[in-house]
Amino acid sequence: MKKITLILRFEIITILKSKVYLFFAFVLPVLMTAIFTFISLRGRYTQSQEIQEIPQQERNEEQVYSEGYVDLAGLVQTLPSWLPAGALQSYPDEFSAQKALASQEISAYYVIPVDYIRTGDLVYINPDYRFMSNEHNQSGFMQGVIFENLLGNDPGRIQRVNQGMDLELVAFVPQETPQESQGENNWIIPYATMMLMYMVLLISSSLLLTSVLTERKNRVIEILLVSSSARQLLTGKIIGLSLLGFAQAVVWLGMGYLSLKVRSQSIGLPAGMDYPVSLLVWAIVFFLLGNAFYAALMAGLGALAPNPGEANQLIFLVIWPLFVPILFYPIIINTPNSILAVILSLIPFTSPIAMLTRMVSTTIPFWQPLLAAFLLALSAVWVVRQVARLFHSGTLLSSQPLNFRKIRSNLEPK
Amino acid sequence: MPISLVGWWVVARYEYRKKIRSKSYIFSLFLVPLLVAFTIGLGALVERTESNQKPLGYVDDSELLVNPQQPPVRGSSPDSTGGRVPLQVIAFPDTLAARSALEAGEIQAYYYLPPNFNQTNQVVKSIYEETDYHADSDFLSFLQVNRLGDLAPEVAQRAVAGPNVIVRWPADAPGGGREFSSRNFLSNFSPVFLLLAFITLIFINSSEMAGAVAEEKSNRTMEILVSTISPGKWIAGKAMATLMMIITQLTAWWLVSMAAIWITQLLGIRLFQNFSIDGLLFLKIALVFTPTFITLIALMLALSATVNEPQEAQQVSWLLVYPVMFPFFFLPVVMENPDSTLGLVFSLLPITSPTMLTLRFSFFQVPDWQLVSSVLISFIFAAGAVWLAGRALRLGMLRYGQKVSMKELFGRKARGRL
Repeated sequence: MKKITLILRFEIITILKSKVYLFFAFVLPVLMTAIFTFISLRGRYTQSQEIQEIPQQERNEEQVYSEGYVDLAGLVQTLPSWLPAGALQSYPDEFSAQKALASQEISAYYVIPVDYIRTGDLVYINPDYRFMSNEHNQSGFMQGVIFENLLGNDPGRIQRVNQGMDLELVAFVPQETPQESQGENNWIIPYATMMLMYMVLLISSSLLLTSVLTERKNRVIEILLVSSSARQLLTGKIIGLSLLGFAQAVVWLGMGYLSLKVRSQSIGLPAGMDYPVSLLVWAIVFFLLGNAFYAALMAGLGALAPNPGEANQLIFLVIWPLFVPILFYPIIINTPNSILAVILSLIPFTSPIAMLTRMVSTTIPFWQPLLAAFLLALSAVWVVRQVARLFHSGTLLSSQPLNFRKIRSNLEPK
Repeated sequence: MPISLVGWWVVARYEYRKKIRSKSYIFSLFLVPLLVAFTIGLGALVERTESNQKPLGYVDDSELLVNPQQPPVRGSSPDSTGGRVPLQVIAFPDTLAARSALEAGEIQAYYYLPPNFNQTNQVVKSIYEETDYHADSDFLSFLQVNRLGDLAPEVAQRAVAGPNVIVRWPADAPGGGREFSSRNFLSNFSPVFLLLAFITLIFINSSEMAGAVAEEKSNRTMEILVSTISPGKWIAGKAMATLMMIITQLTAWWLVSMAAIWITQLLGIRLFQNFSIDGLLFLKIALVFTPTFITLIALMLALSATVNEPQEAQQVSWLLVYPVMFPFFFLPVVMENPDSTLGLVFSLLPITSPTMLTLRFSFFQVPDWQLVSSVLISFIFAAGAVWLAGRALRLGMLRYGQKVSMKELFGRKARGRL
C-alpha cells in the first residue's frame, strides 16, 4: 500500500508540473466558458435591441419572402386566400423564374414537374436554404397550395383530411408514461453533458498513456519496476491519474454548469432543467469507473507500443468507442429508451457517456445505471488485471514492433 | 553553412518508406474506415430491428372504409433512399377477431372506429406493448386517404403523402448546386464524413510530426544529417513525407469506403443507393485543410526542434491539435445559426478554420469571400509557421540538454546570430 501511495504521489506531482495538463484542466474550460458567456450575452443584447426597434404590430408577423413557381403539371388553379399577398408568383417556365431570382424579384422558386402525382417531386431552388434549419425555408406555403389544389379547392374535402383523429389508448398491460417534452431546447443539456464527459474521459485517460511512454523513454520505469510490482505500479498510476482527472472533471463540469446557467437565461431553458444531486453522484461513479477502464487500456497501449508514433497510430482503436455515442447522439437524446440507446448505455466501452446522456434526457429504471456501473466496474477490474500482465520488463523495456502474437503470449497465464 | 549533398526528396522518400512499413500505419489504413462502416452498420441494424413492421388492424363500425386503400408514406418518392415502407393496415369484422389477432401477435395494435366516428372523430387504439413509432401517423394517413374516396386514388394518395421536396442551391451559387433530398439522404451528410476523416488524419499523425526532429536529436543522427543536408531541405523533406503519409491514408480510406459503398449498392441496401460526394465540395474541404496541415506539420517540427526528447514535443503537441476540435463544441450554435459571428470568427482563425468552415459547408452556402479570406489567412499563417520551423531547427538542432526558449526563438538577439 505504501508503494502504491508513493507511486500515486509521484504521478500527481509530475502531472501537476505539466503545462499541458494545467492548460487542459484549467485554462481551456475557462476560455470556453468565456466564449460561451460572450455569445450568450451578446445574443441576449441583440435580441433586446431588436425588440426595442421593431414596432409591436410588425413583431407579431413573421417575415414572408416572395417566391416563384413553375407549374409544369398544371396543378395550381387558384391560390388560397390564407396565402400572404405576394408570397407566391407564377412563372411560365424555369428560365423566367431563374431570371427573376437573379434580379432578386424573388428569393427562391419551385418547379412542379409534369409527373408530380406519380413521383411527388417538388424541386425547390433556394440559394438561402440551410440544411437542418427551417430558417429561409418557406416551402410550407407551396405544399399547402398544392395540397388544396389537388383536392380541387373543395372546403369539404380539405376539412375531412385536416380533421385528424382523437385517439383514446387502451393498453392491456400498463404502459410507461411518456416523458413530458422539455421544449425545443431539451437537447442542449444532454449534448453538453455528452461532450463534457467525452472530453474529461479522453484527456484524463490519455494522461496514463503519456506517463507510461515518458517513463519508458527516460528509463524511470526500470527503477520503478525494481522497487515495486507491476500491479502496484499500474494501480498507483491509475488512482493518481484518476484523482487528477477527477479534479479536471470538476473544473470542466463546473464551467459547463456555469455556461449552461448563463445560456439557459438567454435561450429560456425551463427552470426544472438542471443537474440533480443524484445525477452528479452517477456522473462521478461513471467518470471514475470509465476513467479506470480507459486509463488501463491506454496503459496497455503504452506498454506494448514500441514508440510514441506507433502508440498514436493505434490510439484511435482504443478511443473510438468513446466517440460512438456522439455519432448516435440524436438517437440517444431523442429516444433515450430505444434499444440502441439502452445497448450503448450498458456496454462498458460506451456506457460512461451513453448512460449519463440518457439519464439527463429522461427518467430511466434504476436497475439500468446500476447494471451499467456493475458491468463497467467488472470490466475495469478485468482490464486492469490483464494490463498488469503486460507491465513487466519484457514488454516495458523492449522496443520490438507490436504484434498480436506478442500480446497473446503476454496475456497468457503463467 | 552546411553542405547540401542530398536533396529534400531523398529525405522525404526515406522517411515515407520507413513509416509506411510500420504495422500500426498499415493497420490504420484499413481499420479506420472499417470501424466507421461497422459503427454505421451496427446502428442501422439496431434501428431496423427496433422498428415493428407487424401490420395494424382496424374495426370499422362507422362504415367509412368501404373500399379501403393502403396508407402512403408522407413525403415519399419512388426513388427515396432514406424513406420507409408504410405499415400495412388490415380489416377485422369485429373487436373480438382483432383482439385474438393482437394476442396471437399477428398485428401490433388495432384501431376501433365507433358508429359515430364521423361526428366525434374518436378512435380507440388497443395495444399490448408499445407500437412502432410511425403506427399512429400511418393509421391517420390511412384514414385521410380513405376520406377522399371521391377522388382518383393516385391523386388522393399524393395529396395525403405530400411532396418529396428536393431542395437545390442554384448551380452558380457558392455551394455549387448541392441537392438535399430523401433520394440522396446520406450524401447530405458527406461534408461531415469528410471532416471526420480529415480530423482523424491530423490526430493519428500528430505524434509522428511532433517526434520527427526530436528523434534524430535524441539518437544523435542529427550530427550526421547537418553535414549532408541544409536544415531547410531537411525540414521540407520531413514535411513532405508526412504529407505523403496523409495523402496515402486518405486515398486508402477513400478506396475502402468506395468499395464498402459499392458492396452495399450491390446488396441493394437503399440507404446507400445514390450516395456520392460532390467533387467541388471535396476540393474545397481539401483546400481549407491543406494550409492547416502545413501549419501543424511546421509547428510540430518547430516544437520538436526546440526540445530535447520526442516525448516532450508529443505532450505539447496536443495543445496545437486540440483547436482543430474546438468548433465541435459550438455545433448546436452553428446548426442554429451558421452565419453567426461565432461561425465567421472561427472560420477565419487559423487551425479552427477548416473544421468550422466544413461544418458550415454542411448547413449553408458559405460566401466565397469568407472561403477565400480563410484560405489566404491560413496560408499566410502556414508560411509563418514554416519560417518559424526553419528558425527553430537552426537554433535547436545541435543543442542538447537545453531547450530553445520562446524568447530566444522570437528574440532579436537570436535573429542577429542567424
